[in-house]
Formats: sequence, structure tokens, C-alpha cells
Amino acid sequence: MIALNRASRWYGQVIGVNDISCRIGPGLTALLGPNGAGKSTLMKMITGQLRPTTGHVLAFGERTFANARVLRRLGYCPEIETSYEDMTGRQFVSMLGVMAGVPTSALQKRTEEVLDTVRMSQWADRRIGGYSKGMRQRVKIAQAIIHDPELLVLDEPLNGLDPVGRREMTDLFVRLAGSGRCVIVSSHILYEVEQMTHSIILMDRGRLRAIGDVYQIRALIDAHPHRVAIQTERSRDLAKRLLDLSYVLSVRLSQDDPTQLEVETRMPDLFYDDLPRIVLRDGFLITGLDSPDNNLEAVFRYLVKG
Amino acid sequence: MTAPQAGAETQVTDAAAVAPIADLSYRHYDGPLKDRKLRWWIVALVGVRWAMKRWWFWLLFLLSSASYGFWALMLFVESRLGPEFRQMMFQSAKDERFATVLFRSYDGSLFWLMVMALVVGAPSIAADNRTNALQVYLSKPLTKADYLLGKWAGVFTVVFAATLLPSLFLYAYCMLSFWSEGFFRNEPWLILRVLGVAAMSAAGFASLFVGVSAWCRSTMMSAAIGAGLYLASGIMAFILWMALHIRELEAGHPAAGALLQNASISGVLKSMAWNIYGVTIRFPMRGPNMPDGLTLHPPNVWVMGAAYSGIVILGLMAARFRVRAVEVVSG
Repeated sequence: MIALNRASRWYGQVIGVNDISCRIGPGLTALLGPNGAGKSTLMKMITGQLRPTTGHVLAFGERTFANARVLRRLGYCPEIETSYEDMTGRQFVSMLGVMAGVPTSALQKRTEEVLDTVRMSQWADRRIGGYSKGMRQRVKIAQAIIHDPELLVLDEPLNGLDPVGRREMTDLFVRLAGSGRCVIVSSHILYEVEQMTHSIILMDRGRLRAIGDVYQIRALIDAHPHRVAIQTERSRDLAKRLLDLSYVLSVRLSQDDPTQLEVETRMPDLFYDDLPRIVLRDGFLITGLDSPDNNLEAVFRYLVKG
Repeated sequence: MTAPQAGAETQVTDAAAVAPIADLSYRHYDGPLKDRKLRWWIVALVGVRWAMKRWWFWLLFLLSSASYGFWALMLFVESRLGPEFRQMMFQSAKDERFATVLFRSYDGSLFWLMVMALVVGAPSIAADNRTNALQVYLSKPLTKADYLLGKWAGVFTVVFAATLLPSLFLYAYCMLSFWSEGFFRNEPWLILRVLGVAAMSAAGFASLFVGVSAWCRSTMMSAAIGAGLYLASGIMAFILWMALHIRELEAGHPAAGALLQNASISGVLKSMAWNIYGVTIRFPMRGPNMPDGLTLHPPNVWVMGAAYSGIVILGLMAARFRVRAVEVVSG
């Protein structure tokens, strides 16, 4: 759906996006990176608001910059906080619906539908100036989906939403992606991204650091041993058994909790195969098993923070 | 799912009766999407509706219309008091009588039209700049030109209407009251002049204030700069005119330096209207240095036309150069 071919964007001497090539297909993809990583610049290139200085950004096989054909199939929820304080939520969504091409005859019904979808029907006739941050976020999402776009680009869409709102919007994005749309969500809250998708694009200092499934990416990070935390009453005995395995690099017993041990291995798949066998053979009672490295946080930490 | 017990205080709506759990699933839109030709008009309408919902818009409209009402009243009094009053108030050629009245009405409303254009035009782009709302606009099938034209047309429409409506009222009054005195025979093209002045005035104000607005991130700053440009140019032109032509003025030539006198934004707009109406203003009062009274001709149309074009083009260019979807970090 989206193809970036060696796309770069310079702001004078400052580079926003540096030589990025990738393809993004249908489904929900999270765009991650610290502040200044180039996420917003990349989103603006995808939504056709910025022209790449070099390279190409294509959506639906066409260049995106100021291309009305692409924009008709695209919905964008920018990060901006306030706009059109004097309009009501309904007027705002309806006005942008007209701009997106929704015919006047269908506009009222469609506006009502999307306001309902983002749970804003009740407050739709109040001025945006009186909205909370979360309400503003919801009407921005409503205007992005009013024309039922195939490609939805959402810049920090969960900012300002309360926990219930975050959950509702997350569910909405997952549903939209599940129906074959391409949904790109930027966020810096890794926990929430993890609830939404495993498909990520990780950026840092304008460069693409990783793209794909978060677990596959983690498995490819050889430089950092994989950690597994195990909780058992006989932690010292289990530590001895595990140290016999050639691919286990270290086992550390927790000083605070004598039942906790942490194993470092370069071959997590093999480790997960062998662990049940050892446990069953020697009769260990495992009360907790967790991998602090097998999540987005760890991938982010390894790739961005080094 | 069990039915509510008898007597339970449960209010059930019709929709809930059909489906006890609300259907909050995403509903697809499978209708057509229109490729609108006049996309800029959607942007313009936002500005027009915004202005029309403000009480001060209607107050300014009344204030700017007041001078038309005044001159209508003068015409009415003249028609009652006869030719002597006319000689005192309306010395004009036979074929300029109503054009003169319309021009002087416009001249009297110019300040209030400026205030109206300022309060509508100053926030037009500045407010979007402050919130970076252009990102929302340009994520729709809308070009930068559509956006700019829409913003410009929003201000233009408001000022055009505020100039035209009272002019048409006065025109209609003149036509109905003085039909028998050769209204159409003497001034057949007056309606076109009325339209021309309204369009000229609206285009000038819209270009100026939209251009200023594009360079500001705050409505207050935009309004301050716009008003400053308008008023300062008027004051400067007046001071220069007085300083350079004081001797001619003392010698009884008040028309001396007419170009310099109108070398301001208000002067240019007034001069353009003066030329469009094509009238000669005659004041009947006589003084020691003005035994024949005072006669004023419109300033040179080419010079004033060039100055007016400069205001319009500079305003539009400033807006076009400045408007962009994202803030660009300079190196």
C-alpha cells in the first residue's frame, strides 16, 4: 500500500528523515521512536504534506505529495491540539467530510455514524473550545475516518485520552486494520502499542532502525543476550541445572527475592524447549516465568538506546 | 440474557429493545465520494459563517452602512427643500449626481469597512498557523491554492457584501425616488460602478489582511500589524502632504499634491472608488483664496491603479509564500 524508496527529507541543514526504504501493507503498523526521530516527518511525507528531498514516497502506486487522488483514499489525524474553537464537533467533522468528498446528501448520516463510532454523539453540538483534550482527539479521529479511507495515518492518536478512551480507540484501530485497511499509528507509549500490534517501524535520528514483527526483530538482536526470569522455591538447584546447558551464558539469583532467578541465553528457542524437560525431570515447581526481553520495550531499548 | 423482572425500574428505549447491547461497531461508508470543483468555496464558507455569527459583525455592518443612510436622508431633504439646498449640498454635474452621493457614502464607510475586514481577515490564516490546522486541511483533497483562495474569498465575500448591500439600498432609493428626473438616462452605468467599487474594495482589503495574517501566528499580532499598516500609511501620507504642500495650501490650492495625499492604503482605495465612480467633487463654500469654491478631481487613475495592484499582488504573494503545511526548521 505504501512504498518508500530511499526517501530523505532535509530542513535546510537539519535532516528529518534519512534514506528510508520500506513497504507498509494492510494491517496495523506502529511507528515508534524517541522525540526527534523523524516520525512526524515520515507521516507528513506519507500524507503528501511534505515532498521528499530525495527518493520517492508512494501510496497506492502514486506519489503522495499534494496528490488529490491519494488524499481521497487517505485519512489523517495530526498531532495538533486545538483548532476551530468556535465550531461544534459536528460542524468540524461535517466540514472536513465535505472536503473529503462525502456528498451533501449522505453527509449528515455519515457524520452521525463517525461521531457515534468515536463516542462523541452526546457532545457533538458543543463548541470545540469547551472540549477536553480527549474529546478533541476523538473528533480529530472522526474527521479522519469520515470518508472511510483505505489508508489511515494517526499521529499520537491516544494522547489526552483517558484509559477507557484509549481502550476504545485502540479497539477501533484494530477493527479498522482487521478489515483490510492500512493503519499507521505513531506513539511513544510502548505498552499501548504492544496491545495494538506486533508490527512496528522503529526510527531513531531520522533513520529506520527496524521494521517488522517485534518478536522477530528481538530474535535477530544477537548482540544482546535474551533474559528469562523464573520464579521457583528451589531457585539455587534450578540455577545449577541450567548452568549445565552450554548456551546459557549466566544465571543470576535475586538478592531481594530468593525464589527469583534470571537466566541469560543466546539461544532462547532452544532454552524454551529444554526448560520444561528439566522442570519435569527434577520436579521443580515453577511459580513464575517471564521474559523481560521479549517485548517492545526491550527492542526499543536495544535499538534506540543501545 | 434474562428479561427484566416485573416492577423493575428499567427504562428501555426502542433501540435498546431491539438490541440490549448498543451496536458500537465501525460502520463503513459505501457511498460515492464527490470530486468537488469549487473546493475553495468550502473554506470560504467557514470564514463567512464564522463572521456572520458574531454580533460585532452586524454592529460594524450597521456602522459602515450609516453613511449610506445619511446620504439617503440628505437626498430626501433635498427633494423636499428644493434646488437651493441642492446648490448648497450637491454641486455636481447632472450626470454625476447619484454617483457623487454613492462615492461620498463609500468614503464615509471606508473606516468601518477596514475594521470589519480586519477582524475577519486578521485571524483567517493566523489562527490556523497558531494551531497548525493547515495539516488538517491539506490532508483532504485540497491544494494550497484552494486553501488560499478560500481564505481570501471568505474575507472578500464579507467585505463585498458589506459594501454592496447598503450601496444597493441607496441605489434603489435613488432609482425609485428620482426615476422621473432622468436617473437611468443620466447615469445608465451606475449599477456597474457600484459593483466595481464593492469588488475593488473587497479585493483590496482581503488581499492586504490575508497577506498579513499568513505571516502571523497570533490573531492579535495580525490585527495589530494590519491596523498599523493601514493607519500609519494614512498618517504618514497626511504629514508628508502637509509638509510638502503647505505653501500651495496657504495660497489657496487645496488640491495640490493629490497623489501624495492619497499615498496610503485608505487613500488608494478611496482614489480607486473615486475613479470608478468618475465624479468631480465640488464644494460650494468660498474663501478669500477660493473665490470660486473648491473643485476636486480624482487622482491619476494609472498611478492609483498601479498602487492598488501593488497592494493586491503583494498581499497575495505574501500569503502564497508563507503558507505551508508544516513548520520548517531552518538550518
